[in-house]
Amino acid sequence: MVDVQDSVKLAQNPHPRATPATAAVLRWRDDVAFDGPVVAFADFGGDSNAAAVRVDPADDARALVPHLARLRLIEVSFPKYRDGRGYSAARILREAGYTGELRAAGDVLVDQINFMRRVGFDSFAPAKPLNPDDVAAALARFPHVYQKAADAAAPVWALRHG
Amino acid sequence: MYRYDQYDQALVDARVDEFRDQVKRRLAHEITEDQFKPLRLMNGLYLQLHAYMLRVAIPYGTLSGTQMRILGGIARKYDRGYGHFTTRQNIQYNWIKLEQAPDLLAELAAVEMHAIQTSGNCIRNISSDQFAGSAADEVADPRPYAELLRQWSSFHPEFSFLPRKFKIAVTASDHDRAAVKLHDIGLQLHRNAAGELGFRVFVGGGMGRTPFIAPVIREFIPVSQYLSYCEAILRVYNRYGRRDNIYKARIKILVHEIGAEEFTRQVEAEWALLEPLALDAPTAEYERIKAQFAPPAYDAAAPDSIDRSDPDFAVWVDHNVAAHKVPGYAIATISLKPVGGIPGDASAEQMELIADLAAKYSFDEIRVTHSQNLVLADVRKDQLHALWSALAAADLATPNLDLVTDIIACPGLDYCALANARSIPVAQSIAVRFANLDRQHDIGELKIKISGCINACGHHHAGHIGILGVDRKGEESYQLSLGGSGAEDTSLAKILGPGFSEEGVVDAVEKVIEAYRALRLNPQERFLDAYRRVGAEPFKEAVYG
Amino acid sequence: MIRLLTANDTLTGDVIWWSGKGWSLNLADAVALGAEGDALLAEVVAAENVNDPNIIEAEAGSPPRPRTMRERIRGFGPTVRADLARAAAPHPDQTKAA
Repeated sequence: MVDVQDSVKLAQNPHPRATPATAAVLRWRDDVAFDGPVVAFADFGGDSNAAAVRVDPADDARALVPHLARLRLIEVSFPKYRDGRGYSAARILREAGYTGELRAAGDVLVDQINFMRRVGFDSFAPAKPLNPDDVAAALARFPHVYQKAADAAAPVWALRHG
Repeated sequence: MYRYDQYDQALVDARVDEFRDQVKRRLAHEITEDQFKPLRLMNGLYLQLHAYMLRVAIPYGTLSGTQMRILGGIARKYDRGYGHFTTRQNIQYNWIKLEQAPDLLAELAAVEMHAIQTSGNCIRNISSDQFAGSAADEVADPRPYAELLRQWSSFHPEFSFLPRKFKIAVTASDHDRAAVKLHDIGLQLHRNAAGELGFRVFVGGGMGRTPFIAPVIREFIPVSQYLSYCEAILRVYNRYGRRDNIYKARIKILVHEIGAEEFTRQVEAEWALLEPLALDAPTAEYERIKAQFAPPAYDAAAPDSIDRSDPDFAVWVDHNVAAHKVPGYAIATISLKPVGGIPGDASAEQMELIADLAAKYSFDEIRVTHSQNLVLADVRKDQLHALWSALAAADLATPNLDLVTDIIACPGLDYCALANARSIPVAQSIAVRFANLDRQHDIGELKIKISGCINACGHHHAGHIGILGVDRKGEESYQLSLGGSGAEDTSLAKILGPGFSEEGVVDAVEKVIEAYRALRLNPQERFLDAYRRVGAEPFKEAVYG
Repeated sequence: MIRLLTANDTLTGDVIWWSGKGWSLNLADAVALGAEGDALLAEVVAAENVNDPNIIEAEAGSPPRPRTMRERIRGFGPTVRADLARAAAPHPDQTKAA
């Protein structure tokens, strides 16, 4: 079960602004951003030191699950915003217990940020820079959610019967 | 029926505000049409041939009289005085202006309606049995489960950019009025050997370019777990559904290509991981919703007989009235198929009249059917005559349910930007040809379904007689198919032979029907059963011989 | 055959025709495009002020008669609703049943 107390608190808080790691990256984490090399998914298996990996839409994110402990950054690429496989990749990684930085990179649009936050992304590297005010407005838009995802938000059924 | 609480209302209101902002940004040229198009589509706003078309969701086809009255008012205020009820149990307006769409959506939100996810590659409006809650043959009311699905699928963060659109139907009876085997997911409520309620799960059905009948991937999923099971199905689809070819992107292609057995294995493996995450809504939530679908205050003293002394009324009762589970009550279907009319269209005045009649005779509730008719599901038998008289005065009492003139037709090239040929004029010509009621009744149950393009919104694959409009070198041409069914005996219609012109296809339909009349074993043998018995040959001979 | 430039108005969704001076709601105002047509279309596409701009073929006349049924329906209105006909000229494809 979701911890309803926590979720309610979160829902009542205004969404904090992201702290830009670089000019282009929006980030919702307190730790220091990883700035080492990000290896391609195909090369990750042969590189036992890699602490960051890029997952493309066709890659099986679940194959990373045995290695989550040493990963500090997983970058999920969105070559086209219409390709939604990265949403499942993100949620699978969070469900498996990954707590490191999970970054959505590429064709990331302001109207998708809310869904991306919900499936577990906590940083964004949009190909075209987003206006931070628009991002804040998009995240604050919907006061409730109907279903569980990878975030702490309590679905309305939990609020109704909390 | 279900009423929004503060949470539902806040979400729908927020969506209206969001769209108002997006439209403002578009009209101020802050965003391009390329960027705006997916945003308006997520709110059901298409650009068709003549104007914007808005598709409004009618969840599982159920709406109140109040909501219907508002739909009529919107038709008058924002459109040209009419709307079109669709095969997905929704309503579409054909003449909407972008600048007015936010105000229109706000009026809908005020009566707990919306256009969310009526377009786009997401989970669309949940459809269901139009007799749900009143049908004599259902194991339980499927609407609370359909409403839970509506909520679960609304703004789903993981499944809003699927390979292609996704349609779910729910039913609770062996008599399938929701075509569950022709949906991406079909859920049939039934009881297992222990008497517990659960769903039989069909996945990978559909029409369109490549029609498939859905296989069963699970015989029984308890009602307490069907949402997480759907989550597993959607996740497998989102990850592995094809994205290289829009015509192969529906889940039916994935199921077909890897096989139902392998698909099932993948879903079960995914569900094994999801099930412990407690994604399903708790029983208390189901009970909260179910309470809102509590049976209305039926009058136990209502007489259980119908005075059939008026012969025209008796004919309507025979064709348009179905059995109710409560003695003294009946289910009345309002035909939106007057001979020569446009299938599924209703004027603002008709919508308002039906709203009034629902308030007066059917506990203020209306259903939309996938065959583009309307239903009053809880009418006292001793009030049927009064209802019929009021309907007849508004051209809404055509006694033709499931007969040759009760034709499903998509909007076709008269409205739709995707269409290759017109559908409505073909439906009108066939209806006019068979206008004689005695002839219709003699022919018996015969479902004609017409689509104006391969996307099959007119369900031609599931027609006893299916007609598909195609473009042949700039001319409209019509292909005839026979033997389809969207009921519990689901089958896909097969093409009979070369295509016809508009007039030619009406002649061909008549030849098929006359051949059927000549070869049926008795008047009780339906066209579909006769076709299944004798095959296509006698009909080919009649049409092309 | 002549060539006409058509589109839908972004605000209203209405079918519009290039009249040589601007956009018109009336097919009768549409002008036959000369050699400049393709460049004009490219300009209109780039400007993004109207939706789905396109060049179509039509027989000359007043109003012109678009070659395809689709474009005639856009120009004259749905064939099944005589009451919603768009232009003053009678619909060339009006159905009898309606």
